[in-house]
Amino acid sequence: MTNLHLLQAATVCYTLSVLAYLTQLMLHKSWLQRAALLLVSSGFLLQSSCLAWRWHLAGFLPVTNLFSTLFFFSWALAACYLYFELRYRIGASGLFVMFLNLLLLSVALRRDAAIPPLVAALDTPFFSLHIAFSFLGYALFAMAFSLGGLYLIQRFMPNRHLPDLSLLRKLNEEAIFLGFALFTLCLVIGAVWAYWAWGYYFSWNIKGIWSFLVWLFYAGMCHAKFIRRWQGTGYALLSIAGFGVVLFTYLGIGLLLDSNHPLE
Amino acid sequence: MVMRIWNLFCSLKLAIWLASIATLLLMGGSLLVPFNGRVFGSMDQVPFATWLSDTASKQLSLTWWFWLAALIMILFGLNTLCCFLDWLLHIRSRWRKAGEYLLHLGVVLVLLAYIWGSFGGWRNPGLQLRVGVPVALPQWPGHTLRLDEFTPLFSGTGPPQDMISQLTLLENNEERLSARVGINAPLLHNGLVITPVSFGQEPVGLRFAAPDGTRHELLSGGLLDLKNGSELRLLRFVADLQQRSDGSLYFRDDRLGVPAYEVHISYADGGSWRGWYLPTKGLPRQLKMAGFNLQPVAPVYQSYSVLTVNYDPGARLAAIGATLMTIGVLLALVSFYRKRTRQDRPEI
Repeated sequence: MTNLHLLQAATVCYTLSVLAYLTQLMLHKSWLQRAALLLVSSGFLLQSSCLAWRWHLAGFLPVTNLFSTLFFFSWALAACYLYFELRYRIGASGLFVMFLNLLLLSVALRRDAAIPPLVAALDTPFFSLHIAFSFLGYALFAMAFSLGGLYLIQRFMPNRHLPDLSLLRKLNEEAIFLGFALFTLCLVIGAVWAYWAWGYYFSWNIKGIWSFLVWLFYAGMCHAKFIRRWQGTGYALLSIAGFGVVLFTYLGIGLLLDSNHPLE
Repeated sequence: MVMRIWNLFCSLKLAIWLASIATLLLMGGSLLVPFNGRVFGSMDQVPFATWLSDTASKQLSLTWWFWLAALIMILFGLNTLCCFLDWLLHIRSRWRKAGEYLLHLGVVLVLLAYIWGSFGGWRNPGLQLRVGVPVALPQWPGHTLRLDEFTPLFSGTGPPQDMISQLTLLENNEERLSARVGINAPLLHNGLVITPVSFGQEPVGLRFAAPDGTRHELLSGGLLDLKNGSELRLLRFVADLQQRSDGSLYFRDDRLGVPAYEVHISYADGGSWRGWYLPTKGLPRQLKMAGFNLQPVAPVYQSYSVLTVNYDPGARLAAIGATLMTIGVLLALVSFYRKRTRQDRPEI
């Protein structure tokens, strides 16, 4: 019993919220934005309940196969979207994150939701924290991608219904900074755990190398915002490129290459 | 001149350039890793410096990017250190950036620790230990490791839930420390880290049935009283004894094939006989005459533990670096929200 009804209900809420945001973009009715926020919040509550239920059933944070990681990534994206929406009322500006969320859920819902038994080495709080920080970081990088894309749209095809450039830039920088901070914690915890479990804190497998690359890339971005030439458009382009690195690190390596973080 | 070098190494642009070049190099080069296991497969088995000198130096067409990336990472480390020192010199005006610069220091320490561990450390990724048999650590003269007890824990079928090894570390035959090692519960001691890898089972003797129905396990080193005061000593057990065409004997495998005991009979009159007893081929005449009347029933297996034994002199420094990075990140987060609340440079 993995209680997917909650997840299906959450997917319906997210879908309706996306429709509400899209309609709001055309009709500009404030009640539509409130309804969309309510739907996202409801979806997030349902998905959180499903996550909590599966966690309770398994006895560990269920993030050990492709279904579970897609599920958790989707949950992190929704959490990230809510953070920005509640804090800055970004409305449809975060639509890409919700689209990505729906895409992840549509792939996840077609896969086997059974929770596989936990490999003994993963039975540690280090693992749960490592994964949680990793996907929260990824979600924030996805938000930065979304905001970077919007920045470029606003820059080259100005639209009065989108936030102004300075706000988009500020939000993009915040997403990058928070993502980098959480991803740093993910790497530190992963390194401590690897040392405890395997006797070394850095592994030269492709996943290890690319995780370091993600960190290095966003570390560079945290510095690039201080250089005038890289502010604005350059930063938006980097946010888009960075998310490509993230996607390859998560899905490309897990699905296409032989690594110690396989996705099945 | 010195000031120019200092300014260059404190420069933000240098950091971005170095990070960008390292990123591009590692991106391209790392795609070679999964397809060239012969070259890159041993990278986690030995310290990085050993891999560079023993393997990478002989495969430069595949590994040149590693050398360049390593050089750039060293420069990046220097750049980060200079930025930290520059902040330290101006701490009175820049103390609010403490979180960010602790993160810088943490990164420098972790890089230093990795370099230290790469040159001064060693790795022993598959050390097999049998209960009661001390094994010398070849990279650490005078030190041996003894497995006192080994318990694999299962819950139903599938892989073990844990592999508990009770270990004793000896230095010049004197016990230095004793500890239990399990999955996610390593032995940590001054840079030494011991973690379980797997375990195996090997035949160590046979179980025999006596005419009265009792069972006896005959293991290497065992003694058995025979009739007329004779005594049978089991010198050793081998799992698979084979004979070459010239008649000489050799041990083929640790897996059970043709099991054999090398035995020694001491007769009451002072005489003796030494030879091989192959239970699957029948009793030698000497054993039969001495009254040995046991029938082999089943093999006796003993588990052995396979452990990773690594030594990394930089591990403590890396732990300090990781702690500073964590504190730095947390401080930077707090400082970020405080700045936002106060509208203090809100664009940053």
